[in-house]
Amino acid sequence: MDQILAYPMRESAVVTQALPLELRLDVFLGSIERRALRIAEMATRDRDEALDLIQEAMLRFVRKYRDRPEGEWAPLFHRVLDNGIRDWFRRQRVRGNWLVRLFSHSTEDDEGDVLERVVDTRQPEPARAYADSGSMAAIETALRDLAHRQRQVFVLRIWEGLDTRATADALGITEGSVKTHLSRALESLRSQLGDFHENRE
Amino acid sequence: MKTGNDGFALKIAEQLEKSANDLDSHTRMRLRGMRRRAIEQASRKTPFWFRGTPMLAFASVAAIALTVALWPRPPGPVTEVAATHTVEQAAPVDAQTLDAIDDQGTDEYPIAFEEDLEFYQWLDQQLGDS
Repeated sequence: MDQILAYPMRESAVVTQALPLELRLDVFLGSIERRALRIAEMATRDRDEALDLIQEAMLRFVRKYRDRPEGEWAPLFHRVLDNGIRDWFRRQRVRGNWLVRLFSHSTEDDEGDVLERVVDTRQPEPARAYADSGSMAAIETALRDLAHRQRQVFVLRIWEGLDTRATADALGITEGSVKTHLSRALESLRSQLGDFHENRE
Repeated sequence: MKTGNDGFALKIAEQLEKSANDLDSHTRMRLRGMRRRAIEQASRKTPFWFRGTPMLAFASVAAIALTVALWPRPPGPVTEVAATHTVEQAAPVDAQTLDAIDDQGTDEYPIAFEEDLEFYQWLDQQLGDS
């Protein structure tokens, strides 16, 4: 599992040290911003919220890590972004708890992550989405249905092309956890996108 | 270990890459603006006079605190008691001296009187006994 191929085997956007820092940052952020936006969007399910997270991540990354070696920039940027996403989830949970208390007459305590129990009614079932509007919608739905950690490990390892160690550093977890989360993510995706997998291989 | 998962995962990654490249122009412009703002922040150098300001402020506060801690304080109650005790002891002698000055009818201080103070005290005692 550890040797699984990643797309597109990125050579990372390391440019020569001779260039000014501003230009190197511009190249790096320009190479990563669209994927970062899609990652944030899959987590928040809202483009404006995702854009806010990207802005915050860029500012924090530049402020804190601009002087670090460029080889470390990608995992560091994703660490900043992941922290931002998790803070966003916490804020949503607090807001959700208050709304539940305000508008619900239930006296039962809410345990666990409210967002984990929320069903996204805007998105169709993966198989149906695949049939309706193509594979991307099905993939997005399947990825959104993953637990946050599984989704983050999948996109960083497979899409962003970080190796196991860099992924672990970016997410603040162990390499063993990365392997476990990736295995579970693939298993879940295969179960949801079986047709996609079988039809296109 | 190239398994069936490899192709499966890569196909998903291809689709994700395509979705990222197909972002609308408005979103791309917003991303570009965000990138510019972040990089402008990097290019803003900290003024040279501000670089050491936090350290300077800390050093100033520490120096003030040290000065206050070490500043000499007025004498405490124990010293005052000691001074009072000394005055009380000296009071009879001072009174004798002042009486002697009054007897002489002069403001000059009788140095010899002070030098022979013990003799005069003895003499006074002898006269009293007799």
